[in-house]
Amino acid sequence: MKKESENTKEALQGLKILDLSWVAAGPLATQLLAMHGAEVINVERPEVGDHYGRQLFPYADNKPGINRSAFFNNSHKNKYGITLDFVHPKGRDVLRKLIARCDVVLENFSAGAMERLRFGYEDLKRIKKDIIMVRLASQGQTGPHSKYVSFGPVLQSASGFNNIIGWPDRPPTGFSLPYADFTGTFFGVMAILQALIYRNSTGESVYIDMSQLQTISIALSSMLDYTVNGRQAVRTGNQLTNRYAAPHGVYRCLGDDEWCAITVFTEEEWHSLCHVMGDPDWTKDVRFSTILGRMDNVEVMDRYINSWTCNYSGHALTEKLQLAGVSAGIVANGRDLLEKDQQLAFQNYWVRLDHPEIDEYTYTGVPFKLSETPGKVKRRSPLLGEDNEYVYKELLSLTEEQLADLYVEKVI
Amino acid sequence: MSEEKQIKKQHGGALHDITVLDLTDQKGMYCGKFLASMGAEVIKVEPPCGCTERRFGPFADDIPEPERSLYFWYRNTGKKSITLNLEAAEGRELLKRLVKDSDVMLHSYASSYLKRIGLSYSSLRSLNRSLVMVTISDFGDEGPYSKYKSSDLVAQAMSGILFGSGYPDRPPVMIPEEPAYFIVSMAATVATLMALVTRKQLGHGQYVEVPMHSCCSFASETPVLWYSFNKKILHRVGGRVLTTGPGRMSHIRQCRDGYVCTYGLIPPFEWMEKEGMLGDLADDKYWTDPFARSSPEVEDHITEILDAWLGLHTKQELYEGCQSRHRVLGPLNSIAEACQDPQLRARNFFVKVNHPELGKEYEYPGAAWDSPQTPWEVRRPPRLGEHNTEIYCERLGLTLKELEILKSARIV
Repeated sequence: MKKESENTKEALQGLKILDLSWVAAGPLATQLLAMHGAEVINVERPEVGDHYGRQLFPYADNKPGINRSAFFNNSHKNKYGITLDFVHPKGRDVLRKLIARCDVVLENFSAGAMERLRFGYEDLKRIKKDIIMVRLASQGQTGPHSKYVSFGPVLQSASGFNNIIGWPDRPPTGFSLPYADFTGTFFGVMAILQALIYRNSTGESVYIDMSQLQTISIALSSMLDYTVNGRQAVRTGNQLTNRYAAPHGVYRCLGDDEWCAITVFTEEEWHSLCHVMGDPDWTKDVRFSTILGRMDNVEVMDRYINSWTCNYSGHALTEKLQLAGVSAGIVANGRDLLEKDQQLAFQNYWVRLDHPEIDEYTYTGVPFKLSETPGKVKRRSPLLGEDNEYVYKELLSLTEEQLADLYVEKVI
Repeated sequence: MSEEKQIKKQHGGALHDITVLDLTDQKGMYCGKFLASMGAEVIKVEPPCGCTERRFGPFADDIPEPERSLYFWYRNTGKKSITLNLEAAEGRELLKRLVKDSDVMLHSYASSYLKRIGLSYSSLRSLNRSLVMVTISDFGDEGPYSKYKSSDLVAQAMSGILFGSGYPDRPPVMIPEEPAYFIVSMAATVATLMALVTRKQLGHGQYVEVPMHSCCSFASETPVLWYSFNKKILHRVGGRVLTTGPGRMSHIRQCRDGYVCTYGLIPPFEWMEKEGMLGDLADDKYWTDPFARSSPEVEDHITEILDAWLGLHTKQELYEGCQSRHRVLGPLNSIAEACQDPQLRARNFFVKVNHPELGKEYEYPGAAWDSPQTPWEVRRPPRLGEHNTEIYCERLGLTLKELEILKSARIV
């Protein structure tokens, strides 16, 4: 994933996306497309912008401000940012012009909002015959809960996912990260790209009614255990239930809140682990000689392992165990990832971006690599309305007077 | 071949004329499932004794047989299965013949292994210039961790997913359901589609590298952004979604009959007031400044009032009551409740799949989206070698006799 020559081609060059989405899953989806060369125009409301996305913690220097959110600035790289009130009659005209020149319209308003604005699928098709309309609502456009409002973590709870995370003797822990926003993101990109493949071969328009709840439910394979066997998954801490593995857990290291995950699936790996621990006497105990024995005596075994792991730092232990052929890794926090992860550094994964209103910070980069079209972060996220001039004048050919008029009427 | 393509067209789906060879292990199995759901012909290549994952539980009716693994079933819907021994030279020759007529090859072998057995990208490309070859790896083909061994838990640990998960007085706790495998598979699907989109412009395929580590880091941006922007490490607090920043209170709150998720909740003041439970909760000082709200005293105070009120209601009452007032709140459903969710049912999320070999029909979790032009389809997973005759005889032109000989030689 190293080294990029200057004039690399881009996978999605020429693809034009009008992004009406906000907060997380929509913007992150178009972020991936923009990193691979798609032209993404992000439409926000005048003055307030994507008011939820722009208010997500943390802020630069802990000071709130419309252009200061780390989340917003991380999810709009390579995009153009414009403001537009498309409820206003003049704004509606501008939106029509924007739609007419794009391939894809993405939105994640609550169900039916686009129809109420008379920008439903049939309206869009009249403006652009072969339009691809991708709708990324929380629970889809149809059904009794289609108007329900949600964020990713709430959908993780409704899907049943949060119920199975944690310890058997404690209440559910839930997901500390907005996983459903990332399932929404990746399935959203899949939807757009497969629709593009279809349109390119048939010339026909495509309509996608996606449900973020359904995307997180697909990640829950234990639903099949319920529908087939009537069995419900339960919280098991760090133990696997579907296959044999022991040890399989998270062990204490030297240092404050420092941990290392160790996973052993085969006898060979177990012997490697014993060897690297110095073949202590306890490992010869007959209780630990088979994987089933180790699973039955997991608490005793884990105490022994902890008494060894706690002598090492997480990074030292990771290296020691990996060199011995044991699958293990430090439980990395934000600092570990940014400052100590040698693999991500080698891949030039992180990007540093300057910004007119806040300091230079590190942001996430391109997570996978296509050899000839590797993708790239070219530009920081736009300030609110930063690209109005460029988009309206250069791309839509509005005149200076028309633009001034839109400003005066607070349409943009 | 053209007749075969005609047959494939009977399945809808945007990728109906794409053929994929799937040589992934558990890490990348979902990728082929997703491509098959979008209509691709996905041929799963298994060793003659069947892939390891057929031994993973749970099993249909709890009978541990390779043709009853729900783990395998769920991750291989819509695929075809052929058996092939890549250790044998004749096996590799057969694979090369298949590569000639395929669009995509997915695999999760070490690239050094494929090179050693003569199946590297450069040798396969010489057979088929338009081949897209997708490598799903633990850490990447190159770099300081490229020889490290991962697993789902280790990937969660090293990418930052795990550190914030769980309670402060216990070790970090695993996210079940193999989220790292799911994330890298989603990313690989997206990367594959990008390579297919750009293949026309480039005139040929390319090599696509999808490391689990960087993809999972991409999906766990929260801890990185906090450290990047504020040099702050987010420790475990139990039940809290870290995107809301530092704080002590869980977003999973107890109600009368279980738990609800209150992430992003602005309480329904009028409803609470009607029940005499509002206290001073509606006071502006709590809701206009997010910083004020995150101070420990204010958090304690707000949650005390909220908890007393939540305790009066069932999760269904709270879900419907809050949503009818446009307030974000969701129930923490069990898997059984999620499988009976009226919204998922109304949208026909669960799909009946017939298993004629067992004389039974089962419900599978289904589609991410509805689309009249490009539907997402879930079809039965294959039995081991079910499509040997179709692929080897009808496609490659082997006689039944030749197939028998290959079988007895353990090549097929």
